[in-house]
Amino acid sequence: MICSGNWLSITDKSPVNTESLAPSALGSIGKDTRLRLWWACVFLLIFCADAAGQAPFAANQQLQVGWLPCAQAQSPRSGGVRQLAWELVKRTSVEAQMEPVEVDPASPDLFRTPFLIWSCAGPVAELSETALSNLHRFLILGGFLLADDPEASPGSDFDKSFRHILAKLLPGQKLRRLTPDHVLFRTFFLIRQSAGRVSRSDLLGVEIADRLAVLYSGNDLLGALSKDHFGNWEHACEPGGELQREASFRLGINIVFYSLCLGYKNDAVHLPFILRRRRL
Amino acid sequence: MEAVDTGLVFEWLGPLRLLAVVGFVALAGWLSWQGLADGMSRGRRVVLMTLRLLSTGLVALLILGPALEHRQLESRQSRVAVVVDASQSMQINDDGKTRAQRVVEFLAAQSAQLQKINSAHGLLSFQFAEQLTEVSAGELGRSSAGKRTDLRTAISALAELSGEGDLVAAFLISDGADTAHLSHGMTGADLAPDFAELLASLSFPISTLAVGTHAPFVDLAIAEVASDDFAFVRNAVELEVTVSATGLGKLSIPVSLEQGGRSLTTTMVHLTGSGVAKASLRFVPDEVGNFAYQVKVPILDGEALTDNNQHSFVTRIIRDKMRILHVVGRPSWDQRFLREVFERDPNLDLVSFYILRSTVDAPGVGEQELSLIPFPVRQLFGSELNTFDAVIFQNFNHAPYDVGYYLPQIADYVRGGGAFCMIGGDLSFGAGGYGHSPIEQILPIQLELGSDWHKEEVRAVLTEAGIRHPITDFGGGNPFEQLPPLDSFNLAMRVDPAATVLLAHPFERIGRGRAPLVAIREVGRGRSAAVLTDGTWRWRFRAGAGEGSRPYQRFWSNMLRWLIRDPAMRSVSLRMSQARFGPGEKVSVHLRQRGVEMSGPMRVDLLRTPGEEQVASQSVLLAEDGTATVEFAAPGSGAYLAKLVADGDPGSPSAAEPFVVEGGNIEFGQPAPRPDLLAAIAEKTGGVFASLGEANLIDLPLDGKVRSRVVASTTRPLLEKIWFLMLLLALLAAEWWIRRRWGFS
Repeated sequence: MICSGNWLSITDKSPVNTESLAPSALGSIGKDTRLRLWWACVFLLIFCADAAGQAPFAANQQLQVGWLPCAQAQSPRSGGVRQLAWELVKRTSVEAQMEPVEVDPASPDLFRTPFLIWSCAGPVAELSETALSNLHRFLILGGFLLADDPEASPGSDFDKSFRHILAKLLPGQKLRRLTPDHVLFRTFFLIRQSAGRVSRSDLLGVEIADRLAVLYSGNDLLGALSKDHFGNWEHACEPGGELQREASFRLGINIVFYSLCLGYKNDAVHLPFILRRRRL
Repeated sequence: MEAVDTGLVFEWLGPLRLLAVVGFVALAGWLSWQGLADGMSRGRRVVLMTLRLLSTGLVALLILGPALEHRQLESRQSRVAVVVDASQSMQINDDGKTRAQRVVEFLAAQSAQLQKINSAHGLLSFQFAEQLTEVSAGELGRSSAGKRTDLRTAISALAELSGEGDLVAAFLISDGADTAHLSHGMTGADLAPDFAELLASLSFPISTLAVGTHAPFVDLAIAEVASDDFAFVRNAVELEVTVSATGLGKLSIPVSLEQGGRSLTTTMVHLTGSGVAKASLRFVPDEVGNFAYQVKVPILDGEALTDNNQHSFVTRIIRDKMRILHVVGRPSWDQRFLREVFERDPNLDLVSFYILRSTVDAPGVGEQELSLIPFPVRQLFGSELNTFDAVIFQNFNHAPYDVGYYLPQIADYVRGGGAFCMIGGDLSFGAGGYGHSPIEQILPIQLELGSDWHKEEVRAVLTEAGIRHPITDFGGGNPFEQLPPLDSFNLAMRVDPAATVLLAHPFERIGRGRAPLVAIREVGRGRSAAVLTDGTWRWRFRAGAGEGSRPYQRFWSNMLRWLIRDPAMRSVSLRMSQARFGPGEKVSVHLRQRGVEMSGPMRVDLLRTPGEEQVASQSVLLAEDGTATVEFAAPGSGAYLAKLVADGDPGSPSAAEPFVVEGGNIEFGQPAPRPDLLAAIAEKTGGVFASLGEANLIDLPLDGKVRSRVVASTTRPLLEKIWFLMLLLALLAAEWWIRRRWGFS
């Protein structure tokens, strides 16, 4: 399990890679033997990576995204989550599991993944009283829920069903527009607005005790990040094209950093730097 | 001796009555003059006018009531006051004898003269320090315990005593070393106006006899230390020290500040001709609590007094806010939930640095599009390190950020009174490269070289020590049994012998004991903790009802407060009834115990600091509510520590509180004789100034006026009223008869 936890570091990040070890550690061994050892290592790493992918929950230092159930079919945006995890690992110090894990909101396992995503092609799944109570406690205790509408259409089935569930989850709380000075727009990248496959609406959120607990994107954020198995983008970003896609990645990374660091970038020590760069 | 005195008095004389009479006489005279006929000769007019004025005068006398008073007078016995200084400065040994001893000898030598004065005038005996007190003649010079010399208060009291005027002289015997109103700048040339006015108003002369002037006085003293009763930890504290030197000329001397025998700071002070100089001492307290400090100057050859070369005081060091440096190697849920605990604590000033991008990450954009800031390693671990109450490394590997260079400083900071906590993860402890580093030397555990992180669910088990430790004792029961398991742990190689393990792995063992999950340790004057997991967030974020996040918050809140030695975390506390005591005063030590049972007999020792020499000890018996009070008589002047000792249980928590016994430092701060002041008093009152050995009391001036008082008096009206009225009628009749005879109406 330790191997699976460090796999991404070894392949993508670690400055000490197998190539640099080969000449010194394996110099006295024959060429064929070295080649066999090389392939053995590669297979071992692939095995470890596979084991990590199959693990129900991530190692502690890997961000594991939880996926809430939909009413009809599996969410079409799991590829977006995979790509976001890949970008997180490549661009930041955060370690992330590639695959989101589907969680049952009625189960205590909900509390193993403080970051949840809800994105469905149709309406979200109906929740039992136990699930509602569990999810309510999840949000109150510090959990984070990102809701993303794949249809990017106000009044869509997802939009209506999510707002209905939210009213039950947090009675009296309403989704409010995030202003451009919200810390979420500067948790890692300095960005100014929402982004996604389309660029129609602002980010909305619900705060609990001065902390953003629920974030709602009506722009199909995960759609902008999704790739197919051949590595092609699944959806075009309109109207901004690839710049809009890059903005979507930055927003996605900022959302993850907000869930992990909260108001860290509001600390006084950061403000002079941020203000100076904003002016540039 | 009696005499008789006779005088005219007016029985009814009063201001209003006198005014009315004068007005009446004036009005009557004017009307009379106007009423005389115009054709009357001047001679006749004068005669009539005279008769009328006499009549008016008689009426006025009738109103005022003239009388003769006969007084019997008795001569009063005059008094002479002998006033002797009884302040602590009279204990000073000048050339073999104390000043008080010289006074006693002088009075014994002058006994014949005192007898004569007593026969002639009557002798009153007084001593003074803070105030004037009448004593018997035999007690004069025998006491010298007064905490201040207050000449003005003594002379004011003498002035009140002489209100009836029978005091004809006062002989003031003192060193003149006033430590009250006249302590500064009061020489013969510039006496304060109010004091000069008091002296001028006296009806008797004060002759002053100076003690301690027969030989040069040599002394170096700390006259005053201006300090606040409290100060803030890790903030500079400035003391103003007044040093006085007598008979030493110009010199430079070191003034030092010590705490528990440890020198905190030293500065040089340059004494010039005035003999008084001020020095500023600056230090930064690094621990919260009550502490006794000593300001010292060296003892020079030939000094009359050495007790005044040091001054002790107690200052309460308090915390404004806990200042915490939180360094995180990678954002994680463990860091996220811990930050929430920190943010909710209003008494916490949090400085956080999270590594959001490691040296091998590629954000793909320029710095100007990132909110990242440089990691100010040099500033945080160099100049600013000592401003933090605690440093927390959470899953932070130091190597990529050149923090390794500062690890020795961090270790020194902890040994010097700071606090350090390392929280686990795959970048922490052995995996973070801390094995064989200076940090390992201060941690409660010894580390594996290389990765020691295990991603394995583990339920923390409370150890025997953890059951009663303030970090993990939440007040009853074992809350850790109910908490979810941790997700991972770092496996230590060995537990340091000086460490205490509070939470342990349920079955993994190292050496003879279970592998620690939470261990703590005292390191020099500081403290350290190792939390060998990055999964405590699971205690906060968990399903089910119940206590919610309370155990998690209490654990981290307790941990922080224990690390920074918050007095509230002590299981046993001592409190002194006051911080400063006078000699012989009652010293009360209040003891309070919480949470733990103290086994075996206990006692409170009084220890002189530095050196911790025991000067007194008393056993303690706790009441049912866990409190007790022990009382001692204050020992000699100096700084002390009241310390709780549990006999037979070295593991019991201990507590200690400092206090100071003041031994007359105020008097010894300015002990030099002040003949100039005494000479000025004598001059202003018409007395004589002399040194004690040169004076003869019988020759000193007295006020020569005879004092007497009225023993009895009688009053006899000057005019009987009937005769008075007949004379008035006769005058009026004569005026009427003459006027008619001269043909006027």
